[in-house]
This record gives sequence, C-alpha cells and structure tokens, in this order.
Amino acid sequence: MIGSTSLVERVATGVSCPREAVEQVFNDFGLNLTTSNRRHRSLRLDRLRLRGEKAGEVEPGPFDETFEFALGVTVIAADNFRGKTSILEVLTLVLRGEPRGLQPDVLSWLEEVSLDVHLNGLPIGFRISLKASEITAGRILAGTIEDLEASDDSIAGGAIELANARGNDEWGEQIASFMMTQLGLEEMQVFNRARAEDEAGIIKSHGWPSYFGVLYPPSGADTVLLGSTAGDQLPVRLMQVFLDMPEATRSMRVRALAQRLESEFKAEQRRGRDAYGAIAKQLQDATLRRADAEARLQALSDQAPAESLEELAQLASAAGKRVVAAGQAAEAAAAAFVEAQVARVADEKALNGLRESKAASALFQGLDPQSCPRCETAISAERRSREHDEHHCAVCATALRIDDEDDYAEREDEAVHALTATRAAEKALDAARSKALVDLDVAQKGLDSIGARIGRAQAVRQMSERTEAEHELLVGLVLNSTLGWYWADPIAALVIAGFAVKEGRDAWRGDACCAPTASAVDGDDCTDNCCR
Amino acid sequence: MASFEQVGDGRTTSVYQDAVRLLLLIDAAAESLPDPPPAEAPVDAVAVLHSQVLLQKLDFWLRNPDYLADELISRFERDGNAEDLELARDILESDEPEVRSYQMLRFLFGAYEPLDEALSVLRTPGLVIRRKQGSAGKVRQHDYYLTASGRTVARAVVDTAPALSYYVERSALVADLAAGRRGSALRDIQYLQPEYADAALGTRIAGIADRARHRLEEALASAGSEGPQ
Repeated sequence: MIGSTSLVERVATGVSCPREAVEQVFNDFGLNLTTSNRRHRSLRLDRLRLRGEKAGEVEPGPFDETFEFALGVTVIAADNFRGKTSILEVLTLVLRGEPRGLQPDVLSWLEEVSLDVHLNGLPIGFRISLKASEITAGRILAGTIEDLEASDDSIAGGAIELANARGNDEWGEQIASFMMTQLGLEEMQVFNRARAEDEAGIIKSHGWPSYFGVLYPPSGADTVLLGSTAGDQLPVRLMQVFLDMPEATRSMRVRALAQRLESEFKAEQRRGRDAYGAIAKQLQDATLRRADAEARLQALSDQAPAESLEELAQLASAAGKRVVAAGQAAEAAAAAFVEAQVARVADEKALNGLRESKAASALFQGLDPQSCPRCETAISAERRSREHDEHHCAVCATALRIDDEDDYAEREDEAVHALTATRAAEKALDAARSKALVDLDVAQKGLDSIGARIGRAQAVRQMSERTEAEHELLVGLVLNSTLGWYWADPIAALVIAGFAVKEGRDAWRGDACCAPTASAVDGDDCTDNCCR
Repeated sequence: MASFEQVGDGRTTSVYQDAVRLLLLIDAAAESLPDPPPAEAPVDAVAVLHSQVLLQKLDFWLRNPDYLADELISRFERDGNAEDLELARDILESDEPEVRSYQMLRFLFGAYEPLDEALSVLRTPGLVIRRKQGSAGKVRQHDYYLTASGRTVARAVVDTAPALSYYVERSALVADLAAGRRGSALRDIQYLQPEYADAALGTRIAGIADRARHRLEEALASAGSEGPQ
C-alpha cells in the first residue's frame, strides 16, 4: 500500500492536480492499485476417468477407462490412432473449459469425464457429463483424494462442491473464474488499433483460455513458443506474467487504457479537425462579410456625411415659402393675362363690329330704296332724287347726317389703337405668366430637391444603423464560432493516463519507486523516499 | 381663352351686320322657286327660305363658331370626312369662338333674335321680301323670298365689301351643314347641347368652346391613332 500511495502522489505531482482527482480517474477507469499477492502456482494431474460408448467399426461399444498420473513425468505410448492425443485433448476440454483439438467423433463418444488434480497442493475434482457432444452438467469438487475418487457419479464422503454448471458456456465461465482465482491471475488487456480512421481502437481481454496455452505447450514444429497464439504479443505477455514481473497485468491494463484514450482522443481530434474545417469556413465567410460590412459602413460615412435634418427642415421651410410666393405670383400673372386676353378679345370684337357695320352700312346705303319696308309702297323717283340732292331720306324724309364718314374714321382709329394696346398688354402678360411659371417650377424643384436630400439623409441614417447592427451580429457570430472548441474535453484524462503509464513503466524498470522489490522493503535502498 | 360671359352683354351687332348675315344665309340656304312660281311669290323672287325658326337656327351657327365647330366634329364622326375635322380645328385652335361670337337669346323655340329691323334694311332696296302664311292675327309661317337683285348683291359681297367675306364663307358652310333640313330639325340638334337646352328663357345661350376644344382633341387623337383613312 505504501507503494500505491506513493504512486498516486507522484502522479498527482506530475500532472499538478490533487491526489483525489488522480484517484477519481483511477476509479473511473477501474484501476485497482492494490498489489496482488504473488503466489506459488502448481497444477498436478492425479486421475482421469473416461466413460462412454464408442461408435464406429473398430472396437465399438461402451468404455470405462481410468488413467492414473503419478508424480514425475508420465509417458503415454501407443500405436497410431489409439487415442494418445485424445487423452491430452480431453484434459484440455475439462481444464480449459472448451475443447481445442479434440476429434469430434471422440467427443461424441464421451458421457462422463472425471479429473482429479492437485491445484496449488489442494485436491480438486472436476466432473462433467456429456450428451451428444454437449456438456449437460459440470461440477468442481474439493476433498481428499479418496473422497474425490468416490465421487465420480455423486458426492461422497467429505467432498464438497465448489461450483457447478449446466451447459458448455457456463462450464467455460466457471472453470475460467475458478482457475484464475486459484492461480492468482488477472486478465491481460491489449489494445487493438481501429480499422477505420475515425474510430477509436478497442481493448481486448485475454483470460483463462489464453493462459491455458502455457499449460499445454505447442509442438516442436510450432513457431509459437508459449501459449497457443502469437497474436497480441501474447507469448511475451504470458512470459511476463509467469516470470512474475511486478504489476505485469496492471501495466498492460494501464497501457491498453492509455492507448485506448489516446486513440479516442485522436479519433475525436480527427472529427474535431473536420468540424474545425467547417467552423473555419464559417469563420472565413463571417470574416469576409464583416469586412464587407465594415467597408460599406466606411463608404457610407465617407460619401454621405448625413446632413443635419434640422438644417434641412429649415431649408425646406424657406423653400416652401418661396414656392408659395412663386405660386401666388404665377396665379396673379395668369389672372392678369386672362384679363388682358378678355380685353383684347373685346377690342378685337369692337373693331370687327365697327368695320363690318361700316362695310354693311355702305353696302346697303349704296342701293337705291325700292319700297317702304313698312307698307311696301314703292319709293318714287322724286323722293330718290330729293335724297340725292337735298340729303333727305327717300323713305321717311328725315335729313341725313353728313359727318358720318369722319366720325367713323375717328372711331375706327380709336378702336385700332385700343386693340394695339391690349394686344401688347396681352403679349407682355403672357411673357410674365410664362416667367412666373418658370419661377414656380424652379422653386418647386428646389423644394423637391430638399425633400430628396431629407429622404437621403434619413436613408443614410437608417442604412448606417442597419449596417452597424449587421456588423455587431457578424462579430458575435465570429466569436461563437471561435469559442466552439467543445472537443477538447478528453485532454485532462489523457494527461493523467499518460503519467500513469509512465509511472508504471518506471516501476517496471525498477528505476522508480523501490516498493515492489524485496530489497527495498527494508527501506535502505529507497532512492526517492517513497517508501518512508 | 376668355369665356363668353367676359366678352360682354347687350347688343353687340349693328342692324347692318344682322342684315348682311341674313341676306347671305338666305342666299345660301333658300330653295329655288318652282316653275311656275307660287302665286304668293313676289314678282322678281328667285328663291325662298321657309320659316323664321330655320333662319334663326342658321343664324345661331353663324353667330356661334363653337357650336358650329362642334357640329362639324359630329358630322366628321358620322361621315368620316377629314375636311370637317380640319375646319373644326381651324376654328377651335384660333380664338374665333371668342372673337366672332355674338350670343343669342333663348326663347320659346330656341335661339332667337328680333329680325324685323334687319329685314327692313333688306326690304327697302328690295333684296329680300317676307311673306306671312296664315291669317293676320295668327301667322303660321314666314317665308323669305330672295329677289334677283338680292342674289346679285349677296354674290357680290366678297368683292364689294371684303370686310364681310368671313360671313360669305361661313354662311355657305352653315347652309351645307343644315343640308336642307327644317328649322325644327336644326333646333333639335342644337338642343342636344346642355348649355343651349338649359338656358333660361330670355337669357343668352352660353358658349361651349372649352368642351368643343376638348372634344376636338379626342377626335384628333382618335383619328391619329387610326391613321389616314
């Protein structure tokens, strides 16, 4: 326990975190730091009894054979096809929990198998019943050799049942658990790389069947020296275990865990990189848009220093007054023009009337009167000559006026003058009216342009506000994207696991804490004070 | 353009002007006398215009160029003769409706102006002789006989009194527009104008120059869009 405590402390110091945190990580990952007791491991065969019925043509029928194994080396000698290997394979079936190289027909002959052994010096009996190549019942017994011998079919004497099983799988589990416990072994954990890039690797556990390979060495022709397979570096690992290297299985477990964590981390990193790629793209887009928004904002503030709405309102008020004044002037000019036009038409009409009347009058006056318009009596020649000579009307005898001609000329002259004057006035007022209309148009355009400037000023203002808002939005987006490093969480655990591995290795090499070595127990050789 | 109301009220023509218009209208619109002439016809009569109503209605068109132009537009729309539209255009695009108009009074049978004075001017030199049909107390119709000297004088007006040539030209157009219809038929046409029909008895019939000008624009636009016929 001293060594364990010291290890936790050293890891805590190494990763600069409280030892509670280190213990929590060890707990989370199921790492038990108590050192397992090294023990003497031994397995000696005593007796094997096989019962069943042989099928086939060569010596068919029931069989019941018992093989006794004395201390020392046992040699099994016989001709070929006599069942030498079958003895070894039946031992394997019982002790390994599952068959390995047993001939299927031999397996099918078996009905009862009894095996007694000394396990770490204690007598242990294994009993399995089979039917049609399947284990139907299995028991693990303890007792004296004699009791066990009597308990082939049912428990006899002082024998006790330590475990029982029904079926192949259950027997395999029971025997594995029993043997591992009795022999003080732990599962060897090995990390296997993932096949796909974006997956984490897996931790594979090797239990009792792998250890059994050590009990049943391969044949001389096999390249595997220890155990039954060269995969997962099992021969070396088995050797480490059976050479009793300190913390061998624990070191394997920590290493596998560390590899697994690293693999998870890398897979996560790859996923993170992919995610980061997307985020980076987003970030780039957002940055571009932000630059664009800033440019637009800059352009807006450069090009249109928004005019003061107050000043514009004053200008608009003044322009409005000008429009009203121009409108009134135009109205007055139009009214004056209409008046002049009316006067000109009246004058023209008067002159026309005068001229037409004169012409008509002259026309009719020039004709001789023929009859009285009233009674239609013919006008006499006398009356006509009287009118001609004495200027008395041939019809009614009234004296005719002779100044008509001069009077008419004067009146025509006046009418012509009047018309000339009103024509000139009309023309002048027409020009004045046109000018007033132009003035009004100019004033109106001035007002309109101020209206447009007000509109632009407002638009610029609103545009600036909107662009600023967009800018803020983009900045927010960029920050969110930048801070989205959610995948970094596993780092802390990895750091701790890494240290644990390193410390485990140091311990293995013996250049770390002295606790596991026998000489260090005294405390004199402890170089790092971890034992005190 | 100034409106008619502004041009002035009261009598705006002299009796000689009236006499010239009537002579020219009778000359242009009178029917030739049959052969042999009717018994009531004066000895030297050559043509006759029946009814005072007809004479008044012809005179109304002569004295109101806006109504005349409006009727020309109507005839253009009915007959499609482009000359009518051109004539209406000449009238309405000038200030003739204002300068040449002499509004008439609205009386029981439409536009009316007392004719006696002007007719006496024509009677004295023996140009036009009026005969009344019916009894002395109840006149049914006035017939206006144009004498040979009346025709001679009328046809010589362009030369003898150029200042009056406007009426020579217009009275021929008016007679053409009337196209031999009776006075009541012309009155019905003239009554179609609300200004004419709605005028109170004894008041002057208002002009329609603005409306006629608007109508001209539409007719011109319509004729322009349809292209030359």
